[in-house]
Amino acid sequence: MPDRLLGDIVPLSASSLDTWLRCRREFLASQLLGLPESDAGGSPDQGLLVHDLLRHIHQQGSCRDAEHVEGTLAAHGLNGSSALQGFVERHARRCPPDDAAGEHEVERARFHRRPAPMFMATGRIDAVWRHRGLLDARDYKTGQSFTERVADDPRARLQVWLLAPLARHEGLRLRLRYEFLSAEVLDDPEPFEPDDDDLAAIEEELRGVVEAMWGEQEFAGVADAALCGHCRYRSICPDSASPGVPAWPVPPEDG
Amino acid sequence: MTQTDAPVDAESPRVTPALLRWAESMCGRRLAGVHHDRRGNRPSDARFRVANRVFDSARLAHTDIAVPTLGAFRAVTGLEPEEQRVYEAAGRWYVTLFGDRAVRAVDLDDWESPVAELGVRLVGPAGLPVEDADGRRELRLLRVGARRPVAGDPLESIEARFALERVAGWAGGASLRLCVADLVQGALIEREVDVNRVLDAEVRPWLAERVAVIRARVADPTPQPGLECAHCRYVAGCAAHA
Repeated sequence: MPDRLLGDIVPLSASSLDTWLRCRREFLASQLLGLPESDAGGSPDQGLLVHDLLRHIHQQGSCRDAEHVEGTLAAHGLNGSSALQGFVERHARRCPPDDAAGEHEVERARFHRRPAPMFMATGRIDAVWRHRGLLDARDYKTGQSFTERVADDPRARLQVWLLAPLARHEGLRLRLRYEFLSAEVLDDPEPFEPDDDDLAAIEEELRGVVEAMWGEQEFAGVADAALCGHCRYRSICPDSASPGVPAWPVPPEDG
Repeated sequence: MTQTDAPVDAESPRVTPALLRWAESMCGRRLAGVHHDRRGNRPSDARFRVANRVFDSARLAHTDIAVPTLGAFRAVTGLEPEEQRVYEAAGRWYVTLFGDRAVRAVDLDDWESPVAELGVRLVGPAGLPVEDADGRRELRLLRVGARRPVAGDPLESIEARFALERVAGWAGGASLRLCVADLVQGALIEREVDVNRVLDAEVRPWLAERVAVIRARVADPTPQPGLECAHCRYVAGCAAHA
């Protein structure tokens, strides 16, 4: 393969890391080759809507102010949606005190130069609150929980590594919490408050991942029907355990 | 303003479709790096290889005046199986969408055009210029799985305006059919364009305005670290990543 699959500085995000760890073939198709998806995946629409709603609610007032929440839902044309009302109510029980200073959709980038290989980690953090000596980062989740400790999720480990310089700069203790907002999830996983040793270990983990990317030659697919069944490349992947026909439109004479 | 053959400094600042699109929001330091064509870290070059192969095959299909056939989109080497599937799908749609038009590809500068009046070089793809046996001209912008849906007026597309200005030396003074196609989704939008009129009334005023915005941003190349750092070629020396 004569083309350069990786640039000098490898981009790394929670999403790309997750894909790499799930299936290297999917990583090749989506992250390195940027191919158009051949199949539908899970719709992110509800998650995006909840994120957007919470951002608007916090920008203009408090998530604990029922009248304000109703007004924001109405402004989005969502008045009467008990499902969305439920997401907001479950969030409000977890939200920091009203006097906490908050930001939403916080973009972070952090560069690793040495030891090689170089990488650039980036991420958008759903919400970052400052209160009681804490930089309290939140990741809103609208699906199922698959972990009991945030510290065990590689995506969370990348996020705290991104946030650590900000917390250090402001002299705050860093904590990342997952807020599971669907009614089916009863308990959030244990939040992650990384110390310096954790952060050093995470940087080395990420460096190791990027080193493995550089060493990868085969990009073999995971070939697991449970995973392949949700893959957006399952119909064109040579290793797919869930083969099918691409969802792309077919020219009339081919049909 | 007209595009001329007047010499433009080879080091003239660059204007790309990405700069035109993101001039207001792109990191000022990155924007300045692209505009002044500064050397940077090397990016991956694999992301465009299917689109490049499709484009090359389409061009070869029109070496002489001919309608395109599937034979022009036979298996190519050096692609992963998934890429091959995309390539084949794109070939089928190209033949379907353009299969009734016998045309010949016109060789123009593949990658950049000077705009002396603005003192810049337009750097980036100009589509596939073709003409039929009667000299009727057509410019085809071929997308392979576009991020944005191909719909509406082709001239709403920044890439189409950019391409029209790039081919102005060839297309000026005549009518041209401007086509934007998504060869994965099988979408095609097209319109007949009076080139000089559209260039003078729409494209060039817009381009001048966009170049002014770019220049204003370049004047303050303050880094704005964020998600776009993942794709920045100018990380070395950036204060945001010292």
